[in-house]
Amino acid sequence: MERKLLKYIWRHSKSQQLWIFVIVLAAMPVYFLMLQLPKLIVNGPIQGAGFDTPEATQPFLALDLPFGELLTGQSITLFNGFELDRLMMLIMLAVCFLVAVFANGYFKLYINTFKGQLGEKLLRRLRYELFDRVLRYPVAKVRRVKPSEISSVIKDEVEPLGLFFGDAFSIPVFLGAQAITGMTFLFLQNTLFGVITLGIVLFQAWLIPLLRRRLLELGRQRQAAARRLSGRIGEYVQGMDDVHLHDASNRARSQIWEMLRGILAIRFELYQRKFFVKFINNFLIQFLAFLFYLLGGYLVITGRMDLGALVASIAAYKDLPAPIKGIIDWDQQRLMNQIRYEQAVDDFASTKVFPNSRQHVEDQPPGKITKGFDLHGISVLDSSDQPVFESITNSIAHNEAVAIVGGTDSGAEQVAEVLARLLDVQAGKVLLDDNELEHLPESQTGRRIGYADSSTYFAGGTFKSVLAETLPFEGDPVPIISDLSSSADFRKFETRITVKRNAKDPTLNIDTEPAASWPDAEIWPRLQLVMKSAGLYNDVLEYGMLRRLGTMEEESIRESLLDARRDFANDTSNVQLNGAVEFFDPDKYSLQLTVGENLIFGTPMNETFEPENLPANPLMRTILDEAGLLAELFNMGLEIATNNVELFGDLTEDSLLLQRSGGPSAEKLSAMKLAVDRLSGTSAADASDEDITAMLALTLDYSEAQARFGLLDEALQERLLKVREKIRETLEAQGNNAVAFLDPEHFNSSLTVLDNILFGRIDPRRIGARDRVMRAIKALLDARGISETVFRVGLSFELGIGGSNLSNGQAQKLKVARALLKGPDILVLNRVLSALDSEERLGIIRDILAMGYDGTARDMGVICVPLDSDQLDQFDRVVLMDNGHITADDTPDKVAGRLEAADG
Amino acid sequence: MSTLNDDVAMLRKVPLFESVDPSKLKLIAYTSTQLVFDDGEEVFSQGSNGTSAYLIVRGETEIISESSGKPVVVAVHGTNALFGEISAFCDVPRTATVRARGQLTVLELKRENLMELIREFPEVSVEVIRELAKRLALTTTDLASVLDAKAS
Repeated sequence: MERKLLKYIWRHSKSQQLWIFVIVLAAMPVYFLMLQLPKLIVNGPIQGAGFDTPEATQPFLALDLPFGELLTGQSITLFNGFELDRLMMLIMLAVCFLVAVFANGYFKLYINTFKGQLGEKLLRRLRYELFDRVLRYPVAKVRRVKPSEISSVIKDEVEPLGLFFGDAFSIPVFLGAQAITGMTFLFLQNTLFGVITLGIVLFQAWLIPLLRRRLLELGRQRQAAARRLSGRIGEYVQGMDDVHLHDASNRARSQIWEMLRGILAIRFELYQRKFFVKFINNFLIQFLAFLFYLLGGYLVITGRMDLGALVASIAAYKDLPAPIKGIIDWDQQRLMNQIRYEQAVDDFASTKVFPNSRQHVEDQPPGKITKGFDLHGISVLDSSDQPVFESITNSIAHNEAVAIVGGTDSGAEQVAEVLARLLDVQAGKVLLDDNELEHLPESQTGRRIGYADSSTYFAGGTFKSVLAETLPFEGDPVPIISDLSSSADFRKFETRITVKRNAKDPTLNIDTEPAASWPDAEIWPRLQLVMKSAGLYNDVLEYGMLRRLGTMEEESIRESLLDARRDFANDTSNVQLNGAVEFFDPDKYSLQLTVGENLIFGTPMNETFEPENLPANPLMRTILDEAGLLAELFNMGLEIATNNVELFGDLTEDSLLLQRSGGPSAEKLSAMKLAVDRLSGTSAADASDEDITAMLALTLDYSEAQARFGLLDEALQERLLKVREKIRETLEAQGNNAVAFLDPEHFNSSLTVLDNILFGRIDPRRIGARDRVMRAIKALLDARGISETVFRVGLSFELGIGGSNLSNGQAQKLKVARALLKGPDILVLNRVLSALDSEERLGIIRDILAMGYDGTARDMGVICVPLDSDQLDQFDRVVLMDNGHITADDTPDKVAGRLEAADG
Repeated sequence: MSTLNDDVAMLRKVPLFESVDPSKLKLIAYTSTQLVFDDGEEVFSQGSNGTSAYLIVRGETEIISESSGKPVVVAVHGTNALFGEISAFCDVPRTATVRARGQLTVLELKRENLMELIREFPEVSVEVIRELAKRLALTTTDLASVLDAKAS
C-alpha cells in the first residue's frame, strides 16, 4: 500500500486532477471578465467616456487579432463590432456582466462538485482498500486487534482526507502560479523590493516547518489518542456486564475522563501552535508592507526613487499575500493529512496480508477432496513463542472418521484449527490432496471443508440468512484491490452517484437476507436433514409455530392450517386434552377473556381498537348505547371498583400481597376508591363522559376467570354476544379492517401459526396442558404434511445481535448445521456443542458420523476433537495427544486401554 | 366456574380458616390459583419440595405413601379437604404423593401469600395457631394411644 499521501492521490486520480486543472484554467478568462466589466461599465456608459455627444456610438464586441500589433506592427481588426449608443451600451454591458457572473458561478459550482465527487470516490476507494486488507489479514492478527479501532480508522480517521483529495494538486499549482506572477511583477517594478520580498518569503519557508515540527507530532498523538479512546469505549460497551458486576463504572468513568482530558490537552496545544504559526505568517507578510512604506518612503523622500515606482511596487505587492497565505495553509493541510493518512494506513500497510489469489473467484466450482490431509512435522507456537505442539506428522484420509483426543493443553484443538486454516504453522507443512494448504484458494477449503467449534457468536440476521451465507456467493463480486487493479475493473459496479430527494438512505437497502425463494428445492432436503442432525429442527419448528405467516405464503398452506384446526377441534381420541382448550367460538362468551376482548373478539389492527382505547372508541360507545348496555356496564364498572376496594382497601399501599395478587396497582386502587366514594348511587345518565369512560375501562378489562367476582350472568353474556355480532356487522359493512375477527372458518393472519391451529385458549388452570397441546399440534402438522412449511416460516426467526436470541446450545448447534450444510468432504468438529449435556452432544455426533456412511465407506470424513472421552468406538481411528505430542494412533479398541490408563 | 364467594364459603368450612374474618378469606381466595388435574395426574410427589397448600374444590385425591417402597393408598380426600398445609408453613419435603382420582379441581394457596396475609393481619395467625395446636393435641393423643397399645 502506498504510504505517501500525494503519491496515492496522484496514482488513483491523475486524469481527474488534470481535468480540474483544465477547467480551472478555462474559468480564468470568465473570472477576469467578471472583474473587468464593472470597470468598463463605470468608465464607459456611466461616466460617459467615448460618448461625448448624445448621438455618439461605440463599437461593442469589436475583436482585434491577439498580439496583432506585436506580429505585424499594426493592429488587425477581425470584427468591427456593433455600434451602440450610450444607453444600449449600458444595457448590453450590464447583461454581459450578468452572464459573466452566472458563468463564473457555474464554473465554481462545477469545480466544487467535481472536487467533491473526486474526493468522495477516492475516499471510498481508500476505505474499500483498507477493509479489503482486513479481509486478507491472518486470522491470528485479526483476533488481536480491537474491532472498534479498525472501524474507527476506516470510518472516521480517513474521513477528513476526502476534503483534501480534490485540492491536493489544483490549489498549489494555481496559488503557486499567482505567487510567481506577483513576484515577477514585483521584480519588474523594482529589483530591491523583489529581493526583499523573496528574502522574507524564503525566511518563512525556512521558519514555518521548524515551528510545525511539534504541530505534526501533536497531530499524530491526537489521532492515536482518539483511536485508543474508540477502542476503550468499544471494550467497555462489549464488557458492560463486567462493569456492572464489579462495580467498575467509576473506574471506567475516570479512565475515559483521563483519556478525554489527554485529548483536550493535545488539541489545545495544537490550536495554540496552529494559530501561533498563523500569527507569525501574517506578521511576516505585513512586515513587508512596513518595509515598503518605510524604506520606499525614505527612498522617495531622499529622492533616490520616484513616487510612481513606489506606488507601482506597492500595487504589485498587494496581490502577493493572498496566494502565499493560501499556499502556506494548503501546505499545513497537506502535512496534517499526510500524517493522518500515514497513521491510518500504517498498521494496514505493514500487516502482511494473504495474496489476492487466495480469495479470487474461481470460474470452476472447487473439486472434491480426493485424498485428505498430510501433516509433515508441523509445529505451532503460542503468542509467547512456547510450542503448543511440535513436529506432528500424520495423515488423515478424506473418508475417515478420526477423533483427536487430548486435554486442553494437549494441542488437539490447535491441530483442528490448523486444518481449518485458522492457525498458521511455524514449521512443517500441511498438505491437502498433495497441495500445500497455505497456497490453496479459500474457495477450495472454505467449501470443501466444514468447521465448527463451540463459539456462539452470530453477527445477527435470521436462521435463513446465517445458513445461506455459508453457501457460495452467487453475485458478481467486486474485485480485490491490488497494485494492478484499475478503476476500469470497478466501472461496472458504479451507479450514478445520486440520491433521490426524500429517498431513504441507500445503505439501508443493503439486504443481508437471502432471496425469498431460498431455500430452494435443491438445498431444501439437505437443509432439513442437516437441521435434524444438528438437533435444531424442533427448535425451528417451534419458532415457526410462534410466528405469523407472511403474505407470501400460498393459499394452500392456509387451507392446510385450517384443516389442521378442524382436526384438532374434532380430535376426540385425545381425551387428555378434553376441556384443557377453550375454543374460540363467535357464538359463545368466553370467561377466560376480558369483556373487551369478548366484544371485539379478534385482534385489533388499528390503534383505536387497542384495549386501552376501547372504552373511548366511538363505535363501541354507540353500539353499547343502542343495545342499552351502557348503563349496565357503567354499574358493573362501579361494582368492580367496589369489589376491589373491599378486597384490597385495608392493605397498605406497598403491600406485597397487593403486588403479588395480580390485583390492581396501588394508583389504580386509589383511583377506584375515589370513584366509589363519588359515584355510588349515581347512574350512567348523571355521570360525566369521563366517568363513564373510566368505569367502562374497568368493565372492559374485567375477566371473570381471573377476578371471579361473579358479575357476568348468562343473560348479560347473551346481550354482550349480540353486541359482538353488531360490532362485526358494522365494521364489515363499512369495509373497515380495524379488527381481524376470530372466525373458525377463516385463516387469521394476525394470529401465529400455533394460535391458528389451536384457535382457542389453553386453560391456565391446567398445568402441563401446554406441553400436551404442543405435542398434539406437532403431530397434526406432521400428519397434514405442513411441518415443512412451518419449519420454513421458523427459518425467518431473528437471531438478535450477536445471536443473543438463541441459547448457547442452539447457537452451537447452528454452527454445526452451517458446517454441514455446504456438504463438506471433510468436517472438522473442534470441541463442539459444549453447552449441551454429554448425552445430547454424543447423540448429535453419532448422527453426524452416520451421515454419508453406508456401513462400509464414508463420503464425508470427520475429524473430531471431542469433549467426551467415551463412545470413541464410533470413530475409525483415534489419535491420542498429550502435551503437544501424539502418544497413540490406532483403532479405538486398541487406544481405549491406554486412554483408561491415562485417565486412571 | 366458581366465584370468589363460592371459594370463600368453601374456605370457611376448613377448620384452619374457620374463624378467620370473611374479608380476609376473600383475599386468600383471590390470591390463590385454581388448578385442574386429570385423572391420575400427580399434584405433587412424596419427597419433593413444595410450598403450597391445596383445597379440593371438586373431585377426589388419593394420598399415596411410598415409604415402604411400594406405593400404598393411605387415604382418599374429597371436596373441601385441605392437604399439603404442613409444607406450606414449614420447610419439610412432601410426606406423601397426591394424585387426582377422576378430574380434580383444587385451589392452590401459596405459602408466600399466606405468610404475607399473616404479616398484614396478625389476628389471622392467632386462628391458625389455635387450629395447629388443636391438631398437635390430637396427634399427641394418637401417639400416646399407639404407644399404650404397643406397651400392652
